[in-house]
Amino acid sequence: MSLIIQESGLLTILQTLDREDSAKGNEYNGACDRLAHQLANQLVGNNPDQPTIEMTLRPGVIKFTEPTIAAFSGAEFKAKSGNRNIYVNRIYLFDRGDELVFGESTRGNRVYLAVAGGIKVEGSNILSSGDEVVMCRNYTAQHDELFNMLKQQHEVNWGVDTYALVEVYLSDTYHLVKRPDIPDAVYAAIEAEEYTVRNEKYRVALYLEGDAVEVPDTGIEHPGIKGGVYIADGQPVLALNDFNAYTTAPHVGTIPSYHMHKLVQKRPGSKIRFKCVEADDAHANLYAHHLWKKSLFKAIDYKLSKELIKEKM
Amino acid sequence: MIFANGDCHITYQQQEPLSPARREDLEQSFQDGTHIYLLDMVATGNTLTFYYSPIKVMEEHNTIEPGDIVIEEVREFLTGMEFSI
Repeated sequence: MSLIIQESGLLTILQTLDREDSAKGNEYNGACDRLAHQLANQLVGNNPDQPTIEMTLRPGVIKFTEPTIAAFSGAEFKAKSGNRNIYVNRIYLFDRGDELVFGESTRGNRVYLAVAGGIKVEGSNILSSGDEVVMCRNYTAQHDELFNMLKQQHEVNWGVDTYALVEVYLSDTYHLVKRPDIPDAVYAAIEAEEYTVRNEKYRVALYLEGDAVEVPDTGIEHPGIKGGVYIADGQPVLALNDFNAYTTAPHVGTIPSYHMHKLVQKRPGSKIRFKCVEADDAHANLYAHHLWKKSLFKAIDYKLSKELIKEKM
Repeated sequence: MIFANGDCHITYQQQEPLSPARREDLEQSFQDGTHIYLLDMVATGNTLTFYYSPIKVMEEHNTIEPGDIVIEEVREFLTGMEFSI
């Protein structure tokens, strides 16, 4: 038994948290929004690094073939299963035959579906209509208790609300870690501009447009790393997970990992501003983000444990 | 030039191109070597970029400035590979 991808949507892909080597044809270059990937797993009691289904812009329709605990995180898509409204960052039990159908998103463009006990695919990780996603059923004692708790109401009356995630997702300002060989005038020009997201080559790059930035072309072959900001024809190109291994486009800096969650949720037409920072400032912010994430995940664990104890009493 | 490339990478860059054979040699040496914080290395025609986990360094050294510690490890690798830096 498995999950069936009834409709594949625009780009539905089984994705790991980090980049992983895999068989030819499969690209496990990591979840674009690592926070959403981990959050969805945390909600269903999985290890945060379990694979999830990443769906972009127009998520697919998923059919469940056995009782399944699942949660989705990331973009705020409206979703339904039959007459039930299914909300982002909440835990649900789906029965055999239930379908999860996504509608419009009020914020963001990527959603991550985690399934209790884990999931995997036997073929390509790029999922098409009719494909099956295998349920691993690596259930823990906590999963068993969760099943027991959800069998009456099929959902919990709590979740991670938008306000808890405001700090991470809602600002349009992105840090850009400076390089030592780029003139300050370039950074001043970048900071002064408000850019518009022109389009995304899915999982590869975000293309921005604004006033042209002049950067001397040194002919250096730069590495293509996630978050790298390259200037092509005077406009910034922001590298995502599947970006080229290298590029000769001038590199002006790199967006730190703690701002990549909100970057990959940007849709065409969204606005972006940059604040250019030193690496030490980025590391201080990264540590603050790390502590915030730890406390959020602990709060989820605590809430889950409390609910399960309440159920037993 | 060695610099922090974002919060998780350190890049060594030189103007003179690295030959394909030299890059292969560097990649093999990195793969065969043992490292404290460096997790991966990517070579291009002019750069070597090293990936690390800043949180791991921060927690092990009780610091929020992990860059210098990792840059030192990168320097040691490069010196061992006969780069003059």
